[in-house]
Amino acid sequence: MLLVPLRAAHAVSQKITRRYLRPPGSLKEVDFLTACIRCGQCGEVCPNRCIKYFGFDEGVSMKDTPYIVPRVKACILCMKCGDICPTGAIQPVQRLAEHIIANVDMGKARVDENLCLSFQGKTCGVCYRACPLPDIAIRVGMLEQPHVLDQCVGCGLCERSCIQLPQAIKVIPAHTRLG
Amino acid sequence: MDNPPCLITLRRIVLLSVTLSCLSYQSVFAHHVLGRPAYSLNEDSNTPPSMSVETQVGDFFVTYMVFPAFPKATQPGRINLYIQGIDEGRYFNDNVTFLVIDDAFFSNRQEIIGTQNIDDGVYRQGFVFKENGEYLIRAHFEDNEVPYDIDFPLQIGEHSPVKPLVVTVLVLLFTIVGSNLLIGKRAQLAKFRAYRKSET
Amino acid sequence: MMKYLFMRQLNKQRLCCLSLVFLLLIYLPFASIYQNYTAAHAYDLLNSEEKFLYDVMQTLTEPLVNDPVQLDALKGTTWSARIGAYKISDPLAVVSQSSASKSWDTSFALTALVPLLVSLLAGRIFCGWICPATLLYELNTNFALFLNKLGVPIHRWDFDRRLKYAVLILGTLVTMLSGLMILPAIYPPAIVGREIYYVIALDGFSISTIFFVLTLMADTFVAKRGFCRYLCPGGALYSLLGRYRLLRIQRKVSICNDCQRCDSICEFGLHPMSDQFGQECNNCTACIATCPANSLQFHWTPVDQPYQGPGHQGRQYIAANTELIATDARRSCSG
Repeated sequence: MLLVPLRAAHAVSQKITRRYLRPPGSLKEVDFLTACIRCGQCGEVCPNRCIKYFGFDEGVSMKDTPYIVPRVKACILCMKCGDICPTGAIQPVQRLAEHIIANVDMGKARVDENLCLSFQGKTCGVCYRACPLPDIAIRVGMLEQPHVLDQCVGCGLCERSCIQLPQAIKVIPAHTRLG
Repeated sequence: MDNPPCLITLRRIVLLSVTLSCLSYQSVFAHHVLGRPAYSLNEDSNTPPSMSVETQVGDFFVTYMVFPAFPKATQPGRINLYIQGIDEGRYFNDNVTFLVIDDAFFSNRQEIIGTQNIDDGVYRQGFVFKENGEYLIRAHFEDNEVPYDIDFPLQIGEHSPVKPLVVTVLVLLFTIVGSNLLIGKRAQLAKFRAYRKSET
Repeated sequence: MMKYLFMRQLNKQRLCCLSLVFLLLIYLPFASIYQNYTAAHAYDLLNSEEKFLYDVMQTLTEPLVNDPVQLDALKGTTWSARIGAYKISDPLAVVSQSSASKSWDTSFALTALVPLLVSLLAGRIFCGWICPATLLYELNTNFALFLNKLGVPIHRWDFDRRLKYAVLILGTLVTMLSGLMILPAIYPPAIVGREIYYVIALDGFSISTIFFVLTLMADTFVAKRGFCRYLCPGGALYSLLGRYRLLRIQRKVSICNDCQRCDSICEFGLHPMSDQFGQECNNCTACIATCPANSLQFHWTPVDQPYQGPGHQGRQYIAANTELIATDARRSCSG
């Protein structure tokens, strides 16, 4: 396990960890880890209290860095964390739709059609209604079946609101995507 | 891009203890935080309570759910396990073996609970625990010759709300502040005496 | 005379300053929780403990701000903070971050400008007046004396003060080579600030608390202020910055009586009585407060005095110079 933390800074895709998102406006994972000074201000200023901090379980490189688990508490894209971050590990982004769409990449939501109620014939649509960028990040088809679009920023509000257990829509974090 | 072979061999035994996320033990009540309803995971809540832990291991997202959320001894319960590939979301299809390990300090009892096939995207494993205690459920499966062992903590019975580390620190702080109040102004004199003693 | 009285009170003021910082570190996480409740407009849905927190925070902050959102004006810890529109950071954070990323971020570096200037001027004053760990370490030193009275053997060893410079250099090198931020993980004020936030606003202490408690115990049983004197990378950095500080304490040899109270009270094991302050002095003014002759004072000068010899009111000097003193006395009586 000692190798994992040392590799983590340079081989991000091999991490063994929980599925997590970085705050909105964060740099790419590799740059983030060397820019974040572990000051804890982003979580302190977050009005939704969705930002938590890693302990030692994920290794030395991740310790005290901020993360969000959307199923527990999703990001409402208030962008206060970017304002307060002293090093720019979280870049400041204006709280306007076009700026957020252009600059925020926490991840991308993905629908699990095996679990999604709308794909089982029961009209749902809760995730669409929870999305702060409806028809930009997600659209619905027949029976409110959700289809995630390219401009999804990965805030996770859809995942948070999904009424299925476990959730039928999940955000795949940006740092997990290979390539 | 393929994972280089050396990393696959390094991942031969992947042992992971996942600390329970806030989902499980937080006593959050029904909330409307910023307009988004939050589901309660309290025993008395309306929404079906369940303990859910999720992790990302190798090529997979693994989600583990337990019904009921707070299992008790002699009460039958069920584990639901979901294994999906990270890249495409494809479901893992082979057998999964479930083991239970006693997580108490000086114990290494373990036994196999069962082996399950995938059933409508889920691996379901029933259990009945005879005694309260802290256990680890290990899900074991193999994908392309790479074995995965994923451990999830499961507590049967009540858990103590008081955290030992917080108690220790509070006691320590209390002792330090208390002794300062007791030694008071004599601290200077004590330092002087200690210094003279160390000089000789 | 008034000046001396003022000087002697400085140590008490310093303890107030340290306590204020500590109290702020406790207040801020509660403010963060309170701001969450107000932003959610969820008062009716809070349980009784949450309501109590809300009510207390509302009572405390209502006289200061019109809207709880204005509490955003003060955030952070001594590692990095935001006060109004200004961000202020520990210089060690700048060293750590630029080593890890192997790049220089000017806007971040500027946030450490004020601490840098203050350290160049007044030396290791952060350690004495602001560091939250200092408060705990100083209380712990007295606790150690208390244990000593009960017969428990305490801090018997001394090591080399230069060790912490090695820690700083090694830590920076490891950070550069591995990209790992290890310095904030071992630096006590950053640890204390974060852990207080974790225990109040998140799930509880992390493993860093255990590390800090171990340093407390090492301070008690191994060496007085062991971490600050021998291991703290931040202390090393501040000491280096304060090498030619302008504000320093010096001894007035003509009124010094060699009583050794200053040497005994110095938390950092310096020797004011031998004019040895050096770059390690954190201007804590404990020696000024304890000197019965008021011979220790602040001066504006970039270097320490060389050793002035035994205090002129002390036994050693008087014994060596009896004739001279007698002659002086006769001369002043007659002429």
